[in-house]
Amino acid sequence: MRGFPTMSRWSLALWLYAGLFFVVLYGPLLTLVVFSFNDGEVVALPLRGFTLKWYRAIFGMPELLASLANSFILGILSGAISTALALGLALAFRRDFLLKSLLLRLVLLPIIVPGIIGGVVLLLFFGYFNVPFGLYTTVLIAHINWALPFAFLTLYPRLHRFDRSIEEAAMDLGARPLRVFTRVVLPMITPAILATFLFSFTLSFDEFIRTIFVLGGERTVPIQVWTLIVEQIAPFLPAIGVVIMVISVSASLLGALVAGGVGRRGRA
Amino acid sequence: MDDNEKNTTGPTRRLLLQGMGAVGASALLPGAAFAQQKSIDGLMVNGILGGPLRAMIEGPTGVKVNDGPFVSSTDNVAKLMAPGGGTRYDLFIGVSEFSRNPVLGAGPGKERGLAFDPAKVPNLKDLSAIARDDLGTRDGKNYIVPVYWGYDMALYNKDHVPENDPLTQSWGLMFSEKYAGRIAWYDVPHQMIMVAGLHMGLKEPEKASASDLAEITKFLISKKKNVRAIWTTFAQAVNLMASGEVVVSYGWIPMRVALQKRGFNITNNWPSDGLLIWSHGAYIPKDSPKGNEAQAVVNAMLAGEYGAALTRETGYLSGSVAAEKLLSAEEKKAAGYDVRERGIKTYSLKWPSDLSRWVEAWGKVKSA
Repeated sequence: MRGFPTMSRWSLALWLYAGLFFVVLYGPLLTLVVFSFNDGEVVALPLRGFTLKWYRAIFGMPELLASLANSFILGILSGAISTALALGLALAFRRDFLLKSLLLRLVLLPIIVPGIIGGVVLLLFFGYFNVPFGLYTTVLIAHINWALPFAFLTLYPRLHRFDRSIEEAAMDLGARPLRVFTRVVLPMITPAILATFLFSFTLSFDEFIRTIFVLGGERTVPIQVWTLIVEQIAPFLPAIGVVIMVISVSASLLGALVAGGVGRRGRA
Repeated sequence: MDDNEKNTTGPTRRLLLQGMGAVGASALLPGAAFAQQKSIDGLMVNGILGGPLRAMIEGPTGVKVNDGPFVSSTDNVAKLMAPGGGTRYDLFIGVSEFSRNPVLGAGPGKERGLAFDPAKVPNLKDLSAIARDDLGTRDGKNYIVPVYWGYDMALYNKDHVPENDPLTQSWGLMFSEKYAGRIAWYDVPHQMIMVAGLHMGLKEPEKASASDLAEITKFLISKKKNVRAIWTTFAQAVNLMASGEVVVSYGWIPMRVALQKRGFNITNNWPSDGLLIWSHGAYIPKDSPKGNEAQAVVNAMLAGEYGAALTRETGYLSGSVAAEKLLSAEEKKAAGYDVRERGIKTYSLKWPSDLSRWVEAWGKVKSA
């Protein structure tokens, strides 16, 4: 009979490292969840007991609910527009054309521009063109500007891997390009499009730094939360954080699941 | 395209267009409704329109105030001076001292602000002495009108710091050995160097020479060992105080009010070496198409009822003597309306002559 497997020092070190890694990664999130149920007037130790009152409180705050609705609508719009634009770009980038690599770098530029610089640039840009500040004017454009490169990076590899012989077969059978796209390509990349949309939604939902430069009188959730942090004691903040986290993580997980589905389908 | 396909895509497209039309119409309707209502866009501390305060402004004036997220007084100025800033906002409220030069411009005729019309802001007649001291004036015209004022302070926990401790009567509380390890500083060079300068006896810390600044830096570095935390946000500071992690902290008026309202035994010092006071002044971009509405809002902010409610809600002190008349003697004393009568030396928060050197000095303190 064999005894318990003995762990080498190296394995033990790896396990410890992995444990520490997850503690650093998820410890702060777990702390937030714990404090969201803490029956204390401040977000600090010691814990004062279990309560759900902060969750009840945040669902009784009209400004917060309005900002949540704003972020939802904005996320859906910017997610949809970014995905549509990224799809067009990804389709274009399957072909060779003049200055393709330069254009690719330009598309990805907003990722490497620091957020605060991006915000200032947008402020100046909208100022020169006298674009009125608003959720569905300046903020929407700012969010699309931020999400588009990521949407492109998510979608392009899927399209790049797409077997073009399938399209050629459809064309051999007499289908015109639009029909090939709608009947052949689109159904096969729909999961990738959905995943891209969800990822873009998450980016928009969480966006703060560019938004604060170009927002008018309305609020998105991150801006509303920031306003609370800088101006008042807000013991309900961890509960807000958990709600936002649940929304963002759900969207991301859904996106990952859909993308995983695409991967399996691609391999099949 | 065959007939079958035409039949299936036709209605779908029509439906799509109808749907888009409906969405477009619904998006336009609220805009049309808002167009009927007078409104202004402004940037100001959002708390001054919190709770019952908003209705006290929007009710009497009939002007809706769309207040964007307030970042800082210097951000206000930057937004005023950015392209389109003169027409994008109708009202700014920020630290009067920081706003004066940009709003008044380089000289007569270069003003970026609108001169307030006394006929449209009749409550100007009630401005208090402290507010009058901070008016942004040129050639007898007011371009910046302080609507409220306040001061920065050292907050302390009375459970741990006795009120009769002489340290509570100066900025020395922020640097004391006695409360070592239980003190929090504010992570802003301007304020921290200013109070250290006042505590060290500089008459005009904002004009500190290079050697003065070096001395202040040395002093702050020597006291840093007593500091438990250097906070950056309101929430961080109040949590440090409320949890008892620190018993002394650089603080703002709304922090004191918020902590006291929640039953924490917190109060503030009245530093004999110079209570750092400031006012938040209102200014209207001269190109704002809604100058009249903005002036009506400023007038409402100088009304006694609003000013008294502002003090009760936030702790800020109204720039109007009409507000003081509506507060009890106890309320006025707790808020600090009587600081000058009490003989407490006040010192206006001023812009340093060379901020970049101050930033560099603060960087040295933090990294020491």
